[in-house]
Amino acid sequence: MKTVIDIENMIFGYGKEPLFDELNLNVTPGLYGLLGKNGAGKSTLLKIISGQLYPHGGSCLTLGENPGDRTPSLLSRLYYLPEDIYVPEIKGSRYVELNAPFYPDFDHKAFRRSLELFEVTDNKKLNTLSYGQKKKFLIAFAVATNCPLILLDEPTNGLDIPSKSQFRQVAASMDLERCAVIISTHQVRDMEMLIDPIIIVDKGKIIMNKSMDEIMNSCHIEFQEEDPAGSDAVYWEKVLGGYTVVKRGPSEDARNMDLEFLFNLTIAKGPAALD
Amino acid sequence: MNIENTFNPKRFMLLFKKDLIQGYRPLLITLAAAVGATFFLLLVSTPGEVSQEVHMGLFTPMLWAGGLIFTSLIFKEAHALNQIHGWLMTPASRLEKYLQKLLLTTVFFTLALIVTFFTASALNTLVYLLFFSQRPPLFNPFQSWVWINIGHYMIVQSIFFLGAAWFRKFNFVKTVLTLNVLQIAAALVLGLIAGLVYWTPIREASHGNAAWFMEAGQILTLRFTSVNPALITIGKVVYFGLLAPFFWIVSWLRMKEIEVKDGI
Repeated sequence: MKTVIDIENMIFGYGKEPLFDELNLNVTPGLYGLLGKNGAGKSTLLKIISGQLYPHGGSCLTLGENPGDRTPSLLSRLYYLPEDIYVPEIKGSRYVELNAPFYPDFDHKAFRRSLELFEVTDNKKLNTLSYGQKKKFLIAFAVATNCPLILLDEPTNGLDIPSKSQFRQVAASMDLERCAVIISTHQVRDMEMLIDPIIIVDKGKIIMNKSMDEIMNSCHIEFQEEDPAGSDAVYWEKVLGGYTVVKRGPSEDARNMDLEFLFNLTIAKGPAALD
Repeated sequence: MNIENTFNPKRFMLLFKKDLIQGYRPLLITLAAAVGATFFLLLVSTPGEVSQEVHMGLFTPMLWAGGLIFTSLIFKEAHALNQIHGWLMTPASRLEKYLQKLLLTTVFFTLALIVTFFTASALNTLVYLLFFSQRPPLFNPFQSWVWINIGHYMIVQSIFFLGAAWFRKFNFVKTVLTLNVLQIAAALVLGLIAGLVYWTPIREASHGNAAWFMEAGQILTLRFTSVNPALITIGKVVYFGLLAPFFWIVSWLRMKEIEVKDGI
């Protein structure tokens, strides 16, 4: 598959302390979930990939180009939606009229479909919309750009419960054979049954970049009442009435993985726990 | 170098249109308000005997104060944490983004001001003609003082353009303060040099021997008319030809380095 992002031995930091120390990442088309603790550098990584920050060492190639050059040819194939959004004081339709021409593959029909799904109008001034509506408008715009790389930083922050479900529908409607979508989030429950593969960043490195199939072939989750200490469980958490445990090997029945549990396992035990 | 990635006229026009409508709508409102204000001021300040001095008295501060404040705000989105993403990620080249800002604060601003001022002046004339049967002169944008002012404005604008790219907040005030600090520093250095060169007459004067000081005063009297014409030409070339491009180039280099620095 075509490589969309290729990062090798990348170094970056805000002060003397390095945030990323020889970080490596390879991304091909798909809907990626970028997970990490607060301050792990999820947003920073997206900014480096999109050329808004420059790495201090190593290399980063986005769609085959150095993102730091911010060439129009790259920027027209890349859409970045920040966590803190800003909308101008113009109508939604006007915004599309002014901004869509910069993206050669912009799909007006897809934009309208997404807006209808989100129940947001483009006839109102964008600054008069609620925060959630503004965000949904920009998500619809991002999806309609049809860019080969779309970076969404905490897209479900500020969305109400029905909107999160709508977001999953909109995201799932994208052409993931040719597009790579990276969703940075700490609200993993919003992304369950949507993101695949999963990228986890911790302590300056990518500690996991695996598809759900790979993860579920290497381990599975079970519920048991007895204390798992001393058993073959690699990780467990106490829950009401017993324990949720992770054991090696594929699951025979359930094909679902609790992302929050997976995240906690990977952070606590390291990536080797899933090998 | 891929020219398509450096400058594309169609994309440049799209960027200009986008920024003008999306980002500078308040500017358009300000211009409309300026027409109204100019019209009002002309109306009350020209009781039947409008002179070009009135036009000069209104046009000059609008050009200088308005233009320099507008220039100081031109990189506002590049310094605003919630807007910089939109600016950096707009699919246009750095050159296009830079030229758009530069043209907006120089050519576009001066043209808009001239049109605005002329419109207000024409309205004023019309009112006087209809209600008082008087015919005050129209604002003539082709007078030499208009273009001399615009020429000097372009040079000073380049310094404020750099201030706009350099400082994150309070760009206008910080640029003015920086210029003042530089002025004071230059005055101190020159004063120190003069003090060292003329130390003997200063010492003698402090001891009551004023004759030495009078003599030194004659040495200090410069006659600019007798300065070598080549030096004057060089001074003019530096001021009119090099100063503005220098500051524009430094602004360009500064703009190239702009990143999102809002932390993790």
